[in-house]
Amino acid sequence: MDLSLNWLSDHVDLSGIDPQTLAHELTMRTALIEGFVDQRVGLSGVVVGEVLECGPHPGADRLRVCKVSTGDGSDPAHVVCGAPNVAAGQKVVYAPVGTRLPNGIKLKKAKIRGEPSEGMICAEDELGLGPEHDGILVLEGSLEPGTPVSDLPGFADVIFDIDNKSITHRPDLWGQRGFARELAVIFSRELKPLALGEDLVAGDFGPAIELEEGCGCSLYAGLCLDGVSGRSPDWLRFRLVACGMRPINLAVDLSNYVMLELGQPTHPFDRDKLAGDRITVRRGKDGETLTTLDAVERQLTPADAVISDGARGVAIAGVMGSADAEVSEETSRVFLESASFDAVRVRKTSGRLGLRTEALARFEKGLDPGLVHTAVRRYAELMRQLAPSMKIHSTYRVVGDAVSPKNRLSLDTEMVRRRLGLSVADDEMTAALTSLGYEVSSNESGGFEVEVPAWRASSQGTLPEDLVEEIGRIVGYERIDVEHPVGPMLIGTRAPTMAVEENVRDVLATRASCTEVYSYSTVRDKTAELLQLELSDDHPRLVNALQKGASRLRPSVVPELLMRLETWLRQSSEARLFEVGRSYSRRADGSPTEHREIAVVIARRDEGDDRELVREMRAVAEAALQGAGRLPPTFAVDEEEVHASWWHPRRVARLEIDGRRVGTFGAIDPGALARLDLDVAAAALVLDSDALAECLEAGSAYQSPSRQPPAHIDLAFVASYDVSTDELVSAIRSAGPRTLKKVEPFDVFRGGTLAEGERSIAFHLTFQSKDKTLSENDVNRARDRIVKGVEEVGARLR
Amino acid sequence: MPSSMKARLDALTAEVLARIQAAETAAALELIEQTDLARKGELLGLMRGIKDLPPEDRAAFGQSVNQAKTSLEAAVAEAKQAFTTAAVVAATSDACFDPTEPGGSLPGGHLHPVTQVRREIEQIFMSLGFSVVDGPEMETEEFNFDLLNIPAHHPARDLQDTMWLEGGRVMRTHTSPVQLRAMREAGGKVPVRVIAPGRVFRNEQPDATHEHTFHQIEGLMLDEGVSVADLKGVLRLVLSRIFGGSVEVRLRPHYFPFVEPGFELDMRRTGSDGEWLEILGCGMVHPEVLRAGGLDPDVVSGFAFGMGLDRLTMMRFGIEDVRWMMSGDPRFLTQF
Repeated sequence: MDLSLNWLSDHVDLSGIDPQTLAHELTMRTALIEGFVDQRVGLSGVVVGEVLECGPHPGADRLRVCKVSTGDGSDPAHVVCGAPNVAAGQKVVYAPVGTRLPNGIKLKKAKIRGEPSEGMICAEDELGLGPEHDGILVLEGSLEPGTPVSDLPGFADVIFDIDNKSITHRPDLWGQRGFARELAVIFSRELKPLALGEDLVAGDFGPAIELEEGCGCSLYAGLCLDGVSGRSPDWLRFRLVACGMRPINLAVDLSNYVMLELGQPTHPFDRDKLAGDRITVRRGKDGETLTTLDAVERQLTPADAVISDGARGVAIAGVMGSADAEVSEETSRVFLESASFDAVRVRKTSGRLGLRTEALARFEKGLDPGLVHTAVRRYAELMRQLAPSMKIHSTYRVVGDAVSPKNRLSLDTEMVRRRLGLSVADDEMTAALTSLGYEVSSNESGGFEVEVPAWRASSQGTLPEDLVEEIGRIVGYERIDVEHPVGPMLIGTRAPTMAVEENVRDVLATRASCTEVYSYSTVRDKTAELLQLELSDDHPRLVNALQKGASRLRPSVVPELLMRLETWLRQSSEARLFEVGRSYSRRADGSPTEHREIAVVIARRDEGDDRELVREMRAVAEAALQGAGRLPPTFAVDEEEVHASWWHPRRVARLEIDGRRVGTFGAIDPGALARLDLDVAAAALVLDSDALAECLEAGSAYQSPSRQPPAHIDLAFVASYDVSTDELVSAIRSAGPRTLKKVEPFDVFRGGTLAEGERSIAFHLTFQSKDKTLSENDVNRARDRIVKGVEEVGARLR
Repeated sequence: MPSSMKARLDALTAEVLARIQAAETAAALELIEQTDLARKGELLGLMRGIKDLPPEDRAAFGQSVNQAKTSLEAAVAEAKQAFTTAAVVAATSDACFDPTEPGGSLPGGHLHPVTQVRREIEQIFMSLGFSVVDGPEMETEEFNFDLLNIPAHHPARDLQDTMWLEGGRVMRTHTSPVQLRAMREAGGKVPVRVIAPGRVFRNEQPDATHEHTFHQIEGLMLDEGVSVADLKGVLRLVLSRIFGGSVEVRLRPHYFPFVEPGFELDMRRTGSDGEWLEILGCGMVHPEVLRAGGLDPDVVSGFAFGMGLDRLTMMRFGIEDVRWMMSGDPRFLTQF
């Protein structure tokens, strides 16, 4: 929302306060001012000019040549002007040569169709004040030529931009008057009374009003005004423009003006376009349509509130009027509506229609019903001033019983001091609240009884905490000193799963040389297609996705990580990426669920066999689990398990700790890589961090190191793929003596003299006794037993 | 003097001398000193035979043994010289050396900059007794809105553009629902001191300062009698640590439905009269929210805050466009 300094000044004397100070104080005490534009700056150098002569241009029919005096006794300026409304004797806005206009144009001496032209007679749009471009701005009243335009009263303005979010809870601040009230408090000045003219005469002359049961309108007032045609004066039009609204005609502009001033929307109908003599507020009907002022046909439902003239709907209550009853240039009689509509109802209608208006933005905040009457009186009074021939053509008809809510509450002043952490005296609290319009009296328990002013009372009631805010912001939050809370000592820890993730991140980024990537939580349709993801129809999906084709939540972190490979492999022959994030799916009962995943992808060009990458990934997995908390994993090929589509159909395995699955690793399907147009081998690892955190709680045992020297031997066995490395390790362990401490497979060799389907695996074996140095004999005996044991599972010594 | 004793001494001396000359390390020389030349070594052991010699020979033999010992010790000392720094210098006096020759590179990985800044902030809060917790990213409408005093059909719902899921859940628009989860987890007991970092979602077109997927850190401190002064104190302490040096903070009124009063907190360096920097939103937890968390607002009070991690990260590293964060771009990520 925008504030106009000129407008605010009608309500409170702001003399001597510069815009900077005003913006700062409002920001510190009321609401965020995002910035302000001082129109006076843009108008420097622009002065009042008098058109002494105005004659035809010798070379162009549409142009005129004018002599403009600025009253300083110098020769009148010779100005070529294209406006049809320029005439001798006018007082105009003249920008001399050298002026820089608000639109950035710097005026130079020029020749226009052969005639010299010094400076410019300006239209309002060139001054940034209004929308008019067709004619120049003609000034009214007796003005001295040469007067700087920025000094003319009510002409140039300062416009403040309010952050709307910071006033969502303050319907009273959706008008200039509300801010004027705040400024009066902040700068200790008087809020001027609002000019409302004489009381309106109540009665039943004029269109009857009917509120149907359940129509969502609790108060409806109507008044007919005659002789309201015409154009609004410039100052009024400029204010509307400054506050973001387009001037149309006096009847409409005044309605908007009153809304911007008081926060209460009203709606003028062309009285002569209303079908009958009865206005009804009713629910919409199924199949009913209404063409709104923006020329869009809207479908209505019984959930909407509609204003009807008996024959048809003429407005969607609280949102927008219909084109049928629109006030036009020919309109001379209006029926002015001012009403209290249900905030939730109008908001739902607006949401369903996707139609937000200035009126809606105010109604949905929940307005004080008392404003309904104030707005009509203000409209009538301003119309009387601006259109002296105007006649009120009806009595003031009001239907409905809504009145300003009265909120009263008790306030414990001790609580206010405790909550703020500031020793503010009772008197000061009283002063702050009273200045804001609250009525304060003492109660028996030493606290306050507070009555909330109508403009701050809300249907939800007022809480003591709301008053803490009122007192705090008026006495000033800057008065609150910094304190450090006193309380028990606590030890801050990370939730176990988060701790595991942090540890694994470190391992992946250091030992495994991987780079952490963040990806969106959705999976693109393109990705799903390329990777042939099988997502069920009820897979979690966004209703209102920003990007078409990215509405389904990712079933795993892996797919979009794979999509990154191409970019990374453009720079290097190897990509090593990981992401720690959530994946999403649906439980058997249909409820959506999410899992915490740590996903790693390694891809390399010129890698003949993806099993090499899988071996590397196994090392990454072991390092990760070690980093998570010294967990010894076991690995097993999943025989029957159905895997996600990106895994290699034959080269994927599960990771287990004590029989519990904690992850999956394996090669990426070469078919998928081909579809991604990647000539690489790739492997992935997915860890379930919740499962890891649960396994971690078991801990691991310490063993006292032996002081005896260890003995090492290396053995290589040839085995077919029917025997896994883990099976060989088991065979070695069970055949070996108790002094066999470590069995570490370290190399795999394929090809050479080995048969297809065979490979040789080399093991480091470490023997160590607790109480003696092992002899060569001891080791040889053990070696023979191991070789025999391994032969029993179908492998042979190489 | 019996020639056998003398011959034994000479042979032993020659043998040890040979070993000294053959020693290849300083440690081997140490070993010779500790065995051959030790008080209980073979050489000095010859002294024990002195009592069997005729009295007139005893002095001369003792002298011979001592001479042998002294000369061997000198030989050890001399041999040790070969292993000193000076010897290394002498031996490499003509060697060429250039420390700026390329050394290859150890492959390294990278943690995302947001991870790095998040960890730093978590460490600071943990040191103040705040625990790190989290909650789901797919939230119920109840937790994301209703229980945070943002009822359906209230304009407060418009403060955040929401990504809705089929079935009525939402991608959480803020980390604030974790406040409720933490209160309920604590079972109605105070103190509660937690922070909740996490990914949040808004249905906004991304630009240089907005992402639809970004990261927040929520904070909550509840106890009996926690005040606005405490809020200022804790957050000033934390921000001073994050930005290094001392900062001052100020509060401005702002509307967040789940706090009352609500503030935006600005900061700047202590003593500077420069611009205030808007850094986070905060406030005193709304009584309705305390009730929803199972606490009695007449007894318990506290503050909550939320800060944008992406923005803090951008400030820390001077990153100009928030869209880099989710880009996965190697040119960006490998710098951290």
